[in-house]
Amino acid sequence: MGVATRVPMGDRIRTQRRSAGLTQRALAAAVGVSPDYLSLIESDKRQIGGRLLRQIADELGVSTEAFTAVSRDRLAADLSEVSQNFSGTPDASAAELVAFSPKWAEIVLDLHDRSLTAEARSDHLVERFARDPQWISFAHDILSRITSIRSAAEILSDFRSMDEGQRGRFVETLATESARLTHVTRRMIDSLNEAATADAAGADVREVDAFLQDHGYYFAHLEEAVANLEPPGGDSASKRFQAALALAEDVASVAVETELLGHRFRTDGASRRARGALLRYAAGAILMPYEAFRATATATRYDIDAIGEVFGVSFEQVAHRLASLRRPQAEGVPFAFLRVDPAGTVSKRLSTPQLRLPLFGACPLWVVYEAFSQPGRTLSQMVDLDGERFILVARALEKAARRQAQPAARFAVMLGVPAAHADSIVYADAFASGRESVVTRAGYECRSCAMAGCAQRAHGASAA
Amino acid sequence: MTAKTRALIVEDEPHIAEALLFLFERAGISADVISDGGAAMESLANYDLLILDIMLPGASGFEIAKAAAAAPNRPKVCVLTAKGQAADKARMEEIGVSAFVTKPFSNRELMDTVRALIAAP
Repeated sequence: MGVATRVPMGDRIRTQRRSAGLTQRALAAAVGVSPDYLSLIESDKRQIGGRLLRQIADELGVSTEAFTAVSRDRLAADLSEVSQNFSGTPDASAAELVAFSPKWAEIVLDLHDRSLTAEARSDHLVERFARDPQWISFAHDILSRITSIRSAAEILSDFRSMDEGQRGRFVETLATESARLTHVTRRMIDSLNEAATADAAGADVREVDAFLQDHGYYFAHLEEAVANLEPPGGDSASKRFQAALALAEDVASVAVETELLGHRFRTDGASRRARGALLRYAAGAILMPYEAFRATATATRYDIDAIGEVFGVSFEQVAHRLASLRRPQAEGVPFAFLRVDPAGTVSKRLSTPQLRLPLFGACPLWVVYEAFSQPGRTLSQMVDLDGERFILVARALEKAARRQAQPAARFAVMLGVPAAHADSIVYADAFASGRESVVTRAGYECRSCAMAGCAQRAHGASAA
Repeated sequence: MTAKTRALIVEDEPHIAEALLFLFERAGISADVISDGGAAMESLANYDLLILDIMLPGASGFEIAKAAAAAPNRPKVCVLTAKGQAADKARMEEIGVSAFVTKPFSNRELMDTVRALIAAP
């Protein structure tokens, strides 16, 4: 997790101000700033903290917690999941630790991610040295080169009488085999470096997802930077997206840096990944301009295929964009977004305050996993998670293979939303009766789940 | 036996093979080089002594050692192993191989092993 977490607080300040019955002008005067400056704060164009934040909180009669709570919910949820991973039992004190010291909570999460990364790297290296054909080949190659060099050198030194041709060949052996030894050693070192810099445990993915989540997956500067651009043409969704991405690199790079201002990522890899994610966000915003997209989504009742047809984009691109409909005063239905591979590894997760998505793979009863059995079809499900109902919508997708005989990359993407929004989304119609017979009882993820009698249980107290 | 010993060096690294051939000639032992394991399998009957690498194209050193153990002329076998490949050595011992030289070997060490093997009954 990032050490400094920037939370978009503007909307929350505005909401609290309105419920206190204060105008922008009145609050600005009370805390000694200009109304214009307060307006910038409320639209998240200025980040504040410290004394001014406390003054505003005091004036509105709330604690500063009211403005930063979502990030802390996320911290507590992540922390609780980490504790389950280690001890196997849910830990209610996670929220207390976060409340007592969010900094220490961040450090614990950071250490957890570092330990996972270190463990994955060491497993990877042990595997390499013991069984990896590439390493066996390196070892064989190096020993052969050294054997050739040693033999030739000893021959040149031990046998004075030798014809010139023969002597020349052994001298030649020394030169060529030394060069090959250097080459293979370099390859071996490069291969070690690759292993050492790879994000073996997915820590970068989680760090960037946490950053995106802490911003509610809505980036005002990016939206502004690409507003009113003509979406590029192209004969397929992926070509149009690539063109939009190139355009985003041209016009939104400054906005990307503005969004990242003040946030420090733990690794260069995470930093690059975050920039990439923001550029792809901007590309999505170019192809699916906010207001037009929200209007179409509302009109089609969030029918992902219908929306995709209007904007000429893919299912996954629409799903991503739906998760970003968080513009203050112009919000859409609050969708959480999850992407997993067939092994269950989470490659993208954007939780919402309403639906927390697990860090390391969700409950196997979620429809996102069933989607792999029916690729290309949109499946939906009403789940009951600890007494709260949600609508989940998922589809498995294939990214075309680059070469013959290579498997295509497969993912399943899922959107999740509280069932309270069922009337607004077409996928909920099948569950309109709300009867128990259409509801799947499930959990968030196995370790913390208390559901009795689950045939799918793999972890936890009642696991077989 | 030295005078009439015919050795086959089965080694796919040309620089190592050339050095071995030179050393055998200087030691007065008639020797040929084959780099392909499959071709070596077909030539076993013509030789009394095999100098055998393990990782070879065509057929592995293990297959060749097994074939040698079963061949009517029972050629003697010296295997060139790599440091750290204890499992390879154990497998060769099961096949009946008793002479090993570990890469990277010294020329003297190799030729001492070869002479001892030739002298053995």
